[in-house]
Parts: sequence; C-alpha cells; structure tokens
Amino acid sequence: MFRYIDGCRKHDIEFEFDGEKISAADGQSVASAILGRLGSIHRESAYSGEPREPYCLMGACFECLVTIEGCGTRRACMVDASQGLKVSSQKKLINE
Amino acid sequence: MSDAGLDSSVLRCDVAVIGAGPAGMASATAAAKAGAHTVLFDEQTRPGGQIFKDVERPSSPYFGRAGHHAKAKALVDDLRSSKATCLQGASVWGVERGGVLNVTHRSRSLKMLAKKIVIATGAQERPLPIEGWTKPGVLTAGGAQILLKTAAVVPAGRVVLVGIGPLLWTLASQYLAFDVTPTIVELRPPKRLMRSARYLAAFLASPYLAPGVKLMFEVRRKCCVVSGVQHVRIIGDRCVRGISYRSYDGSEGNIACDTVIVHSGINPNLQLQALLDLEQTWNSARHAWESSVDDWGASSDPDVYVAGDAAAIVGVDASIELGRLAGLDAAQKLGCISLEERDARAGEPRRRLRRYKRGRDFLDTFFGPPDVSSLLGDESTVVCRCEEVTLGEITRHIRSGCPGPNQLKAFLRCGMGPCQGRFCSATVNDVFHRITGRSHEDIGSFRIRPPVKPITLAELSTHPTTKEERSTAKEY
Repeated sequence: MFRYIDGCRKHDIEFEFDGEKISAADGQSVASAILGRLGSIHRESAYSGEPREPYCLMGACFECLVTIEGCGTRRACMVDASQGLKVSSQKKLINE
Repeated sequence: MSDAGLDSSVLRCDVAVIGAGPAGMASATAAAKAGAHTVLFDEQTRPGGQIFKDVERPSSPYFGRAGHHAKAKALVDDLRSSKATCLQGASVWGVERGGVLNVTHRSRSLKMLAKKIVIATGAQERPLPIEGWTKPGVLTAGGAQILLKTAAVVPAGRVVLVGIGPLLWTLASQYLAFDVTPTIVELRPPKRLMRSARYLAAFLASPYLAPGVKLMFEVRRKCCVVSGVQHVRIIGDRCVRGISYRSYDGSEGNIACDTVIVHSGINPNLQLQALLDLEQTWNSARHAWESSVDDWGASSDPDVYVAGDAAAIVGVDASIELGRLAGLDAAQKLGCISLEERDARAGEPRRRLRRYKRGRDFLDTFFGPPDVSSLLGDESTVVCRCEEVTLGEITRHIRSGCPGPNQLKAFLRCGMGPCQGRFCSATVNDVFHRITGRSHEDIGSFRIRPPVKPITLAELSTHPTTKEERSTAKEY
C-alpha cells in the first residue's frame, strides 16, 4: 500500500514489529517505518475488531496505536524509531 | 538555547510556550530575545511542528525541493541562537488557571509555573465523515504529506485525493514531483467562485495568488480532476477498493483505487484553550470555532496568548508573525522591554502580517468546507472513530431528546475514546445543527478534561504534590 521513493535517508537502524525486523532511518516515526516496509500496522479497533490504520499521522487521531516496549496505546506516529525497539500491534480489546 | 536537564519537578519561568511549530518557535525566540525566561514545550523530539517537521534532519528528498526549506531553517536557527530553553518530547497534558502547566517529560510528570503562557498548538485536519472513512487505505492529506516529508513514503498503486482546500492541490503537486499521479475528486459546491468574487480584488494583491494559480494549473494539466462532487462513498471490504461519487449535477461515477486521501481544510487545536475556558467564537465562513484574541494574541485571560493556527487558521507565514507579536507582548507585560521597544520590534512583523492576510477571505470562501449534511453517508457511517459510534445511533438519540454533545457522551460514549473527540466533535455539532436547527453556538462542544495527552500511571505518580510545589519551586 506504500513505498519508499528514491533518495530517502539511509536506513541505518532496525527495530522489531510483531517479531519482524523493520529497517528505518534513525528518528523517522515508527508509523512511517512500518507503513513504508509492510504497508500496515495491523491494528484492530477496540470494540468491533475492525482493521484500522494510521489516519492523521500527527498525533491527533489515535488510530496508529501500538504497544511499545510493553506499554500499550502509544501513538506510532509520535515515537521515533530506534535501534532494537520492540513494537507490537494492538488487537481487539472487548470480547462479547 | 539550552536543551534542558531537569532536576526538580516544580519549575518556574516567565513565559511558557506550548508547541514548537512556526508560531511557537517565533514566539519563544521573540520573548527570549526580549529578555524573558522562556521555556518552549514540544511533544515531538525535534522542533518544527507539523509543517516544518524534521527540517533539521530530513529523511526525505522532499525538503531539498520545497520552497520553504530556507524559511524553516532560519526559524529554527533563530530559536537555537536565543536563550529559550527547549523541552522536546514534552507533552503538556494539562493547563490550569494561574499559569500552571502539567507536563510529562522523560517518563516524569512536571509542573511548570509560568507568568505568561503562549498556546501555539497549531491545527488538525477537519474530520471528513464519509462512508468508509475508517477503512485501511484512507488517510488525511496532512498525514500523507508528513509521510512524504519526513520518511519519503508515498502510496503504492492508484491514489485518489478527495475533498477541498489548498493542501489537496499542494499535495498533488508534491506527489507529481515524485512520479505519483493522483486523481482529484473535488468536493467544491457550485457557485463558490461567485460567492468569493467580492474578495477577489483583495486577493489579487495576495502573495499566494501567482504560485497558487500556477500550481493548480500544473496539477490540472497532469492529473484527472473530477469537480463539483457532492457525495463520496469509499468502497471496499477490509480495505479500500475504490470510491463512488455523485455530483451536484446528478452525474455519478466510480473510480478504482488503492489509497484514498481525504482533506477538508484544517481546524485550530482547541484542547488547551478549552481546559482554561478561554472565550471562543464560531466563525461561520470557516465553519469552525476560533479563540478570541486581541491584536497581540492575548486571549480572554490576559496571561494566556493563543498564537498562529491554534487561534484561527491563517497559514504558516502569518503564524510566524503572530507568534512573534505574542512573544513580544508577553515580554513587555512582564517588564522585560518598554512599550516603545515592543512596538518598534513589532513593526516589521505587522507589516508582513498585513501582506500575508491580504485576500485571505477569498481562500476561506473558495476553499471553505463542503456542507456536511450532503456528505454524510447512510446510518452505518462511523462518526466517532474511537468508540465506533454511528450516524444512525447519534441521530436516534438526538431525535429522542438528547439535549447536547455532552449528554451524547453519557448515552453513547461518543467523543470519549483515545482521541478525546478531536475527530468527531465538529461532526457531532453539525449533526445536532442539521436535526434540531439550533445554532452551532447554542449546541456547543464536548467538555474537555485533562489529561489531554496520554500519560501512564507511573508518570502520573511522579507528579509533584501541592506541598512539594510550595517547598521546591525552582526558577528555571
């Protein structure tokens, strides 16, 4: 769904997303790095479990929520990618 | 400028500026250069805000081509050469009357006691609640631009831009430079040009006219543009497969695509202003709430300024100048500079501001948001994305007598999810207006409560108590 254009900064770090290695430029947002490589952050909405993806990418919509180093509900667009960071996707919370 | 290493959790300063975008950077620089102890709080790790995001260390070739790179760099350099303290990665989760800021920074919660506060929190995308807008593959024009600017990421496959506003055309032109050719579906109601004609004379003198016309001409030449569209629906099951549209003239069509980028202008970020209960007014031309401020950006609370797009949408250039004026006035009120000195330093910014504001009414009218009633899809359209509340549920509750947005929260949890109403507040107000006929002012908005940014319990537990505050407050 997304791709990198030519001439982007060198991808010099690697972090983990759901166990998969994602390379990125140090300091680019976690959201942009996952979208650039995988095209999807695999989030499920809290109630219905519908798939959701980053929408505003500037910290306002809270659609890019991920778990980072064990802390849930972090906005992937507001966190810088860094070497070795552990990120996982957030799944449906409510089960009827 | 110093990057702070903080050893106390209760701090004092003269001027606290919130947000390191154009207005915030200019404001902090002006106040600090006038001699005020100034601290700038910014949620991101580097200054620049959204429009100048990552300007000091771009990951994308975009910045090399963008015209405003030099301006952004000058603004950051100016800030760096001032004595303002910049706290990056600092999230202001609350403000209280009397100059109290509650801030998380490096996993701790701090209290800043400031004599003057400048709110420069900028703007956010106006929600465009069309059917299917929650599907993977839909994002905002602002978001798409951030992906391009900061990460060199663009949509793969076919792209449709849906909506209205200068940003839609800017984004299309930026995409063209990187070989992405979007289709544009413009939600501009008929007679917009006629309605905005009376502002045309003033707009002819606008510095934005020539580059704007050139840009739109270039985009029209290279992209397929569908104009006069009234209603759009996003098609797809688990992700976007295309859109279907209906025009004002009755014609209909479908466009297959993989990504839909939506935009309907931007609205001021009003969260902190609402916490302080600052006076706000409804601007019917822009269809938005705005903070009431004087010529210097001072709000209904004379110790609080609102600068740049956070007060009313004026654009990046005017925001810089408005930021400077707020910083200067705050410093003058604190006795750092004389009235004459303030006015002398404000001369140039005011002159430029007049130039940037020339013909703004034309843009506001021509690119004003489309009528929400004609956009909203069927009952299943999601209005509150976080709590997954649909138009149908909201409509039923209003029809059965729900008196206002705050009562709707109690019935449906609408506006109570993680985004705290940022992406449904405007729509809820519009739906109430459409059903009851009451004025936007009378309907009002959701009550905003802290924390307005996420904070962990561990962080909150480090927040200073009142007793600590009395004994440890430290001049910053």
